[in-house]
Formats: sequence, structure tokens, C-alpha cells
Amino acid sequence: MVSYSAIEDYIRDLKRELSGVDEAIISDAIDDTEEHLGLRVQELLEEGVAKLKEDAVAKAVADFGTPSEVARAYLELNDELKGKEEKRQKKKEKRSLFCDIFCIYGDWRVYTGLIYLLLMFPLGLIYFTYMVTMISLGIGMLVTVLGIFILILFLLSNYGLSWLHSRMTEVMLGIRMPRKPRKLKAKGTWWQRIKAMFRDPRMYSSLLYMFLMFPLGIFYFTVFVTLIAASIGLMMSPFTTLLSEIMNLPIGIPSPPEARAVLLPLAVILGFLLLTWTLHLSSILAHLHGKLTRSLLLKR
Amino acid sequence: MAGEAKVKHDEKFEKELITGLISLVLLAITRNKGEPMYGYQIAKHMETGNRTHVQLKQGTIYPVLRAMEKKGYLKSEIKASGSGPPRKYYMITKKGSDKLEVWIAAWEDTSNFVNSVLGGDVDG
Repeated sequence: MVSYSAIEDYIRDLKRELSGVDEAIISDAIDDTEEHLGLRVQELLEEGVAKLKEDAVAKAVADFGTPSEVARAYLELNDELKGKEEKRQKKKEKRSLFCDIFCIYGDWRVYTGLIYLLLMFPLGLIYFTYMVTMISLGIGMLVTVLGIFILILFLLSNYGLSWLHSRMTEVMLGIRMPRKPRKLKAKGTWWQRIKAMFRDPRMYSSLLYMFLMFPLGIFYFTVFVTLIAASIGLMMSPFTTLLSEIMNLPIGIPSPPEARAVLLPLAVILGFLLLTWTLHLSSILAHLHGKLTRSLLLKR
Repeated sequence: MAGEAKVKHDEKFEKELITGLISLVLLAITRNKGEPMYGYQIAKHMETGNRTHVQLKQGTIYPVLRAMEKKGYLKSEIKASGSGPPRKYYMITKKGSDKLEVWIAAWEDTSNFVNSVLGGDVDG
């Protein structure tokens, strides 16, 4: 059996054992292991059971299980999740074409996904403004020490923001995300920790994500507000046409009265189909956006 | 115990027994404690109360805790700690308590049955 003298080595082997498994499960496994081994090592040292940190790690790992034993326990969990996913897929395959198209109205996830995509615009705007302000302020004041502090503060807050955002993504899109804020792994002086932060690829990918949210948010917002407005407008056209008739308002579909019997029902059907298509589009985009969020905020 | 040295232990069998009951044991620990517990505390609890000859690897209880959280039997809360990484505290839910009652009943029935067979009350 391999003996470990540092928690990092153990985590590295655990990651290797879990390669190819759902990212969120790997993330859970690492969090649990770090929490447990960290506490155990601390306790062993405090109680004097082990004098050296290396010995404490070796003892803690012996009780915790080898990376392959621990990985197997998580893999069983993964299989269980996969089994559920397969069942869901099978249920989906059984559905008729009609249900494939219209059952989307009964899926609440589609609505939360749509709200999520619409929220990307204001949130992206806030993140973007915050990012640009802090970075330009930090760089502008770099000649004074204050600039460095502002930049570091911004980068630290970026960790918190990405965590909040990943929680929101999990709740609204149902995509599993890491469960707790990552602690900066590096120990030592402040300078060493800051250097480690700059070496963390996740920091750069999360910055890229926060930046991308702005253009993507504008795109989602424009597309969906237009599509929803158009479909509702079409579906409401009989009422608006009637209203324009009674109140003499310039709304509704301008049409000769004899053509209305055909035109208006057609507009309602068209509006309904457009709304259905919009929901499908939002479901696809929410799924893709979730994948993007996961790959940029959950990189290990 | 005097007899202890003579009895050979079938670790594989004991391990299978305890693994099958791990969810029941973990759920009962979180209920009995009556306050939120983090994984390490639960693991320590398991270790001190375990009179079998199988030392369960502590790393294997965490996925079980997460699975029970997913099923709604446990809920969790992450709290920062003064030293070391943040800790994930588990608490039993109403659904978990109800499930535990069901499992305890099943366990009692099973153990009564096994005991009666072992005691010779039931003919094989």
C-alpha cells in the first residue's frame, strides 16, 4: 500500500481514481476528503499521537481508506445517479411525438431555465460594471499600494461571486455544482497565498465567465423578450382586433373583416406554436449555458 | 474475553453485514445526537461505538451521507471553521426520521427472525 505523507498527494491519487466520473462527484469527494483529513491530522497532532505532520497524515489516511476504496464508494453513488438518469431517458423515449413537442408546458424546469436566461442580462450587467470598475480602479491606482489591495480584493470577491452564481445555476437549472466555497489551498505567508491565487486556472476561467455573461445576457434577453412578445401578441390578436374595432384604436392585425375568420385563428395557432418553439429553444440554451457555467466555474 | 482468541472472525461476512446497515446506523447517529454533526464527528462516533471486528474505512461514509441528503433524509449546512476547511453539518429531516422508524422496524423484524432461527425456534 502506498503511504502518504501529504494530503495533496492523496487527493491527487483520488482524482486519478475518479477520472471520467461526473465532475460534481469528484468535487464532492475532494471536499469531503479535505475536510476529514484536515481535521484528523490536526487532532492527531494536538493529541500528540503523531509528532510529525507526515506521520499524522499517514495515520489519518490509513483510517480513511485508500484512494481506490474511497473512489469506489463514490462510484457506487455515481452508478445510482446514472441509473436514475437512464430511467428518465427511457421514460422520455417512450413519449409520443406530440408529447415531445407539447409536454414542455408541464415541465417547471423550463420556466426556471427561462427566468435564469433572462436574469443573465441584469446580472451580467452588474458583474461587468463591477469588474470593469474594480480592474480599472485597481490598475489606475497601481502606483500606490492601494491599487494592489483593490485588485486582490476584487479577485477574492470573484471567488465568492462564482460560488453564488454556481449555487443559483444548480437551483434553477438542476445542474450539479460544487457544494462549498473553495478554500485557497496554499498555506504560508500572504504573499505565497496571493501567488497561488494567480496560478489558479479556475480564477481566470471564472473571470472569463463573468465577462462572457454580459454579451450572452444581452443576447438571451433580446431573443427571448422578442419571441415571447411576438407569440403572446399573435395569440392575443383576436382580442386586440376586437378592441381596436370597438374603441377605434390602432392595435391588432389590420385586416379586411371578411379575411378575419381565417386570419385570426391562424394567428392564434401561429402564436401558440411560436411560444412552444421558444420554450424548446430556452430549454436547449439553458442546458448549454449550464454546461458552460460548469466547465468554467468548476474546473479542477 | 476468553473465547475471543479461539473464534475466527470472518471479516468479509462482518463487512457485508455492516455495509448493508450503514445508512440505518448513520441516520440513527444523526438523530440521537439531536444537533447538527459534521462528517468527521459522525465518523468518530461510528468508530467508538463499533464493537465488530471490522474497521470501516471512514472515507466510505461520506458518499452515503451525500446520498441520504439527496434523498431528503438529511439536510446540510456549511459553516466556516476557524482553522481548516469549512465543515458540512448534517441534520436529520422529518422525512429522515420517518424513514428511520421504518428501517428500525425492518431491522427488528429481521434480527428477531434471525435470532429465532439461530435459537432453533424455527425449523430450517
